[in-house]
Amino acid sequence: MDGSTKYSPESGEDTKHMAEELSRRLASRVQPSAGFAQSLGQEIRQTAQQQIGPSYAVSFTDMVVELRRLVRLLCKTLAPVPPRVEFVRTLGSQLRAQAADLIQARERRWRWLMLGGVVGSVMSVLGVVATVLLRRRLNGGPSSVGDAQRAVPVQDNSAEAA
Amino acid sequence: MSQAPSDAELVLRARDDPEVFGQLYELYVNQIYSYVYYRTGNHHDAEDLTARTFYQALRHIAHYQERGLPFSAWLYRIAHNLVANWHRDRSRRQVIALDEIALVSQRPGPETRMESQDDQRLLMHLIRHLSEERQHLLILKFVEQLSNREIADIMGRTEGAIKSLYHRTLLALRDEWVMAKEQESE
Repeated sequence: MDGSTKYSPESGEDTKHMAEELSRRLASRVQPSAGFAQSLGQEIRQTAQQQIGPSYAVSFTDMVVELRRLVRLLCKTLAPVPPRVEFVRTLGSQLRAQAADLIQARERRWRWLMLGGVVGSVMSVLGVVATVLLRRRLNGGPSSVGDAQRAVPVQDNSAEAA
Repeated sequence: MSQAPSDAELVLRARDDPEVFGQLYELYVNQIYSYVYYRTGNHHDAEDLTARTFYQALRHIAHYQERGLPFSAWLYRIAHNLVANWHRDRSRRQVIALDEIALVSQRPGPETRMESQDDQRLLMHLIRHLSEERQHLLILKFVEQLSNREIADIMGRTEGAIKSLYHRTLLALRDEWVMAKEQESE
């Protein structure tokens, strides 16, 4: 903790701002739940037990009372502060619009990816077929069933029999 | 009667449906705003950082993985990191803002209200000078009213460590409080 800073209750008070803030915070005050209050109570006793040793000047009961006051003040001081309604509404609609844009962009990207995949697959199959055909041509081999039949010499079995 | 969908379900659906992301936003915007507000001390920066928290959540929600932690823990972590960067980026920390906040007293009698508001201002001043970790803990505990288990999830610590940190924080605050009150009365 920085001990050099001095606290001044009067510093920089803006009455209008204070009044607005006060009404905002009064409107937003949320009562702590029973469970929350109970757990705070238990923790106060645990904290007091930790702190109180045989040589300590403050009694356990006094410590509990002091800590209870402090926790009560913390509950009052750290009240939830709601945002401006206008801010919530504007940000909400901006976020929804941006979410829609992001989802559309993702779907578009996905579609292009799918299209790319299909085109890529077709191209690779065509490439394989083209390579096979080209090799056959270069090797002088038959490039079709007709060519293959023509390439095989027809044997004259009748002359052999005579 | 149909049960309200869990956060995990909403997160899954939010990846493909902007409206569901909007629902998640509405569920958590107040909590995140409160948290950021107490960490920054003014509404302007709180709005800016809250918006950035949700934009970041939106960009990364497709990669979010449920690991048994609540969705809010993930949001708080984003907010926490943004606030930490915000503090780092500021060359000069302005401590005034939170100390100037008008504070609420539940009993509206003029004298007690003045006394209580002064006490609350003093307490806020003391909180602002605690370490970041301790401020983080107090905000999650008192503003958000989260359990030690939930705070542990958010801060990435064990429940025992959080309990111990809370006890130490409370005692440190109490000591500072006594000192400040003694200074005031002198």
